[in-house]
Amino acid sequence: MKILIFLGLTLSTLAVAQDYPKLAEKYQQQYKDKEAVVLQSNIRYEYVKDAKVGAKITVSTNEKLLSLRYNSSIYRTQYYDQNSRVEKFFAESNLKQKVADYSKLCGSYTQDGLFYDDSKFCTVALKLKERGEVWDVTNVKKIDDVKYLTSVYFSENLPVQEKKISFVVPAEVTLDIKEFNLDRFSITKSEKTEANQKIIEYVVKDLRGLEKDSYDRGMQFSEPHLLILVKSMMVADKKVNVLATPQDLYAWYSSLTRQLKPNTQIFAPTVKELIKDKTTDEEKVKAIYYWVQDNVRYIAFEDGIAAFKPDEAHAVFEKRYGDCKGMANLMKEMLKVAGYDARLTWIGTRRILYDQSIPSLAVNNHMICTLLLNGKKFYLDATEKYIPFGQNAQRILDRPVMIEDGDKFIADKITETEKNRDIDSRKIKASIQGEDLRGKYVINLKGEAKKNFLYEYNYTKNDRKDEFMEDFISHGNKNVKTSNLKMPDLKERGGPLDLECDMLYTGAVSSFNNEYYIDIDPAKNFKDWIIADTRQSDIDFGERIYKKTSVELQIPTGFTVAHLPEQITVSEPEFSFNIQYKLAGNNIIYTKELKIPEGIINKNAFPRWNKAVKQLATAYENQIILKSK
Amino acid sequence: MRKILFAVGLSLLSVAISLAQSSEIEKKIKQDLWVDCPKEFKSLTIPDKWKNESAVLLAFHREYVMDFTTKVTGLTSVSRFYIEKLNYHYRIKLIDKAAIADFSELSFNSKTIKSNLFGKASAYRVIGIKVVKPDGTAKEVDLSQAVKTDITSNRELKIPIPNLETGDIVDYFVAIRDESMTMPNFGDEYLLELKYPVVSHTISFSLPHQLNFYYDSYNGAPAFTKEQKDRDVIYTMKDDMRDKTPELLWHYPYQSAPHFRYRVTNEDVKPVVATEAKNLLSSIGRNISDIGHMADFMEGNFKKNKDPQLILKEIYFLLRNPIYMKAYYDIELGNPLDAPLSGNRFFLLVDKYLEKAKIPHDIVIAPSRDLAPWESLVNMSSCEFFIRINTTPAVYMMRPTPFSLPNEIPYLYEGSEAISKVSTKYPIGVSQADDNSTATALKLAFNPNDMGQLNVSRNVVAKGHNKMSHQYLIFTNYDYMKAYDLPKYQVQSSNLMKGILKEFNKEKTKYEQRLTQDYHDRDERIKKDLETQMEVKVADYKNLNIKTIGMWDTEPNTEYADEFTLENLTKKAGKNMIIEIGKLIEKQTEIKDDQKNRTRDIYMPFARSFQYEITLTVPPGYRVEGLENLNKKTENSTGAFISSATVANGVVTIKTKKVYNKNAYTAAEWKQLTPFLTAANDFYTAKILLKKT
Repeated sequence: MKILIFLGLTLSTLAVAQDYPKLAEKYQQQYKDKEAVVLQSNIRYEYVKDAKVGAKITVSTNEKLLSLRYNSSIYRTQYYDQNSRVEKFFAESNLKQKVADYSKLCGSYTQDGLFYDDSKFCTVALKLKERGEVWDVTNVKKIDDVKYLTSVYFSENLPVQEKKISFVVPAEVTLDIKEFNLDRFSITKSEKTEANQKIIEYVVKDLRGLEKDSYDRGMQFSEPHLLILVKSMMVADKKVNVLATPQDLYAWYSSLTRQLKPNTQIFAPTVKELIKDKTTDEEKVKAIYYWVQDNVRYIAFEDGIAAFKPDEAHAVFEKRYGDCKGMANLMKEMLKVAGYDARLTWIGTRRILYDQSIPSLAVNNHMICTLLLNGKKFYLDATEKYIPFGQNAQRILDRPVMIEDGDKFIADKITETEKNRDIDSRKIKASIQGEDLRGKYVINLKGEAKKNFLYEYNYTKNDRKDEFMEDFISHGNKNVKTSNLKMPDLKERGGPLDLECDMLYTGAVSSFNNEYYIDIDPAKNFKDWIIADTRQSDIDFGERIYKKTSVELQIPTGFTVAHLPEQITVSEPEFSFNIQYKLAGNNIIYTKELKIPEGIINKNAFPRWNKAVKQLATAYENQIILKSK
Repeated sequence: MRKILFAVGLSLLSVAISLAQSSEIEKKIKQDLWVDCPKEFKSLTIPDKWKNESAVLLAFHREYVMDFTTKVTGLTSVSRFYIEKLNYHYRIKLIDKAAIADFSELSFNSKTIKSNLFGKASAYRVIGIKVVKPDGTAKEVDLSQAVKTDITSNRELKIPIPNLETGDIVDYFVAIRDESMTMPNFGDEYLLELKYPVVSHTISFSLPHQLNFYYDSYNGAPAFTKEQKDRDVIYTMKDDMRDKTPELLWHYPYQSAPHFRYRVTNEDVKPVVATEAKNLLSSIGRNISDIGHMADFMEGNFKKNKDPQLILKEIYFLLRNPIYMKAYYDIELGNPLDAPLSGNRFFLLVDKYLEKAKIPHDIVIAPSRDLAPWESLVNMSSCEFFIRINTTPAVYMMRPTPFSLPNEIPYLYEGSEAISKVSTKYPIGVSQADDNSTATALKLAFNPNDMGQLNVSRNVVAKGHNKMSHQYLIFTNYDYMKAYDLPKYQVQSSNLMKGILKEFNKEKTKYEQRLTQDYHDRDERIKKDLETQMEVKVADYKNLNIKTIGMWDTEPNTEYADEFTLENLTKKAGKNMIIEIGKLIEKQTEIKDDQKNRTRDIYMPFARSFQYEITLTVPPGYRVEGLENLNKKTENSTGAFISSATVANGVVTIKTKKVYNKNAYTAAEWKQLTPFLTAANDFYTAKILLKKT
């Protein structure tokens, strides 16, 4: 689903004359990989009364950009769509460069994960002809429907010296602004009333530029931003609720879903065929759920209202593709044909910071189907491939949902009771052969670990599957070779998945003067996971992590243990690492357990995380020593 | 999801044409390609041997049809037009979900139909896609539902393919028609191995009898059949059951894969490309290039010196100089390391100057190694000009690149044969392993404060073709401009040159404004390169000292020194330490099990050698063990890997040398290559032990 998000942009002239080249020299040292700094930026969101719709928004941006790099360019991009348009753009530098036409490089802009949406953009390149050159950029944009302005962010790609964001709101518009992550930054807020208009102003100083982090959790969790909630407006002297309560939001959603007119005859024969030999409800639901997972591809068109209104179930069925809303709707209608009570359900995934108490289009980014059966709710997300009935994907766990229920909605939360559900467990029984370890390797996958494996395996080209399996088993360690792989029934979604093979771990043993030095663990998970000080986002692994490895190493005849590395035990609220060595008869038993129960490492845990990863890396490097008796 | 791009796209002007006419044209094409098609385009099943592939092309037909027409082009004139039609028709069976994902969305250029004065279609591009179910039922994809692609796409429209499941067949075509007033005369190479295996592959050329088709098949490609049809001749090649393109190391497909090369022309005998090259050289005629700036420079700096060697190198360096690149080729000054010299003016300028200086020379043309020799060529697309100075031995001048030197030949042209305008053929020499060498010295010492870290000081000397990667790694645009900031290049009299010089000096000064960032980027670049090549963690990269960049004849080698810390090359083992010393020779080519047998010849860029000398000071209280494992020698006529390790006075010295003796090997020689490649890869995993005494 799509909403407009405004990264902070621009402003006015500085009151005091500056020595720009000197300032640029200073910032150059501070931001070695940045082309420019935003010296000052003023962004004004003015709600302008409108007789027909109550209010529209004029966004005026003024910014002053300081060049830090000769012979480079910076880019300013204006985004717009069916509900908005850019009305003015002008840029001028103190070296007499000018850009008045912003429409030179324009086009469609499809957001990640979508096939098509109606976003458009225009980009201008501002050439930097001198360190210390200053560009003044002005632009004006109009937004016709106030509810589509949902969020305003303070950060942008360039570092910011000072940015003012103000909202000018007439008395006829009731606006609520919710603040997120502001306390972590130098941001002040003031409010005043002038000419019957409320002016709310935020000023941020010394804000670093945005960096792209891998495994990022999303800007909502790390960046200072505002959620803009327009509660009501006066239209023709009448107060009209826009999105004052979650019920308003639901009412708007259901005004769209009520327009749907499913032609069930198109898919009814398929439903009938799918459930004809099934006797229990679970069997029937599974047959339909798995059919949609297997046969409908995720392809998302978000063109205008299609960003919020599901596609017709019969259309999705015939095309065999759809977005989350289309698939949820098809699930619902197929289940209804089979005689079940199924409902559309709006949800914000774990990428969303907000809960359902906030009436904003930014709250929900996903749709699933809820099956009400025997007094229980089952959440069915057909965009998840290979997920078994009854299991909820990690990305929707612990998230509140809005389930359709006529004029009202049912509020609920998706919970998971099974602890350690998503486990990747590996057991190796090995003996030393020359410089190698050779033995049996058994892998046991459960929950999300199994689901993810099935997805990756099935979406790997047939002629690459052997390579994929080698890589999956070895964790990318090219010294691990596998053979005699026994694959289980990959069609079975439920229960654990067991793989078994023979393993050869070459070069694991170094022999020096009748001593063996053994690198026992071929899977050195998280070894290189030291987090840089500059990282801005929390880490979101996208899955709950529970990795278990055990290696049972047979001590060769004539040898005895000279050294076993020390154990490590790290236990933190967000993660735990545990490595143990013990002797059992003629074997050394190595066990490793790595847990990140929520799959998230918050920024405040980074120092503890880094310390633990260093311990882990040291533990991986430690070698077992066997010596001849 | 990934998007498949149609391989073809001609840009045609679109002129309004009635919907009815448009639909008639489409209808006819669809009838021809989808209804009246050969039986392989009705096939539904794949051979068993390919059932584990991702997708299989059941049929592919590339059809070229050429014809003449005459048209009234004015009130009194009639002109002959040449009509060319090109149809690409694919029928592909999607076997797995990955193939479904690949074909899930297709992007293409929009349909265009251009009409002539009488409203008839004179040019078109028509696309058709249908999905065929395993039972043979087919449904055409409604392309009017396509949406615009993003600006970053090189296609105009995209569409999701509806109702697509594993086992389905996507049957699609692109049909292009165009007219021109120029008689077709072209040649091309065509590989028979494609991304997916092909059950039935047809390539046909339908030509009027006035045109001829010449071809040669290579490496097992079948022959064309010839069939007379009315006044046309149809040449058809049928290639069935062809495996997909193999993934091979060091492979030149046009030398060893099945393919054919063809030429369409109205000439009665097959055109000889070497003759065409000779004719091209002869057509240059009187060279009227303005060499005023070059003359001014030489006059100003080397007035009386007539030494040909000096003249050659000075004019070469001059024409590579950003100042003169601006003057002669109008290439902007700011990015000298990324300012490729296209066009052929360089050769004319040098030719003219040498003519004036009475230095005997020729402009010559040579084909690149991946398509040579001359006798096999059907066009000149792989050919390049050189200046040949007719001394003994001859000196060649290549199109300048930022770091190239006079008498350096791009490796793609080594061993090739150049031809002059009087048809003299000159073999171009081949550089040897010692010419293209890298010698790296690494001095290692333990960080006294953290025994897990090794401080390294490194010195690298690279020669010949081995230089280039180092040069781009360590040099910046500013460094390059500084290298050309020499008094001799400040000597100029013309106003144009004075202006450019002023601009150059300003540019150089302005680049100083960004040195902090550029050097920061450079150090990060080198650090990342080390981390990738050695698979280690590098910290504290510093003190890069570029001794010679290798861009002048007097200092032809690239030599630099630097310092850094390796954070994880050591492993603790009780009180002892294991050092993964092998990693210091950087990642080596690994020959995987499925690569061990080879039937195709091996084409490498050039013969080359790599030497390392690694010294490690053993910390007090330790002794080194395991050095004996580092003494290896695998040597034969194809190359070698030799390593030795010694310890003396508390210092371990390890020396390695890897040599590739040739730039090309026969498939039979692969068995000799693999032992030394494997030995080098084994060394990469070698470890030594520092034992606590």
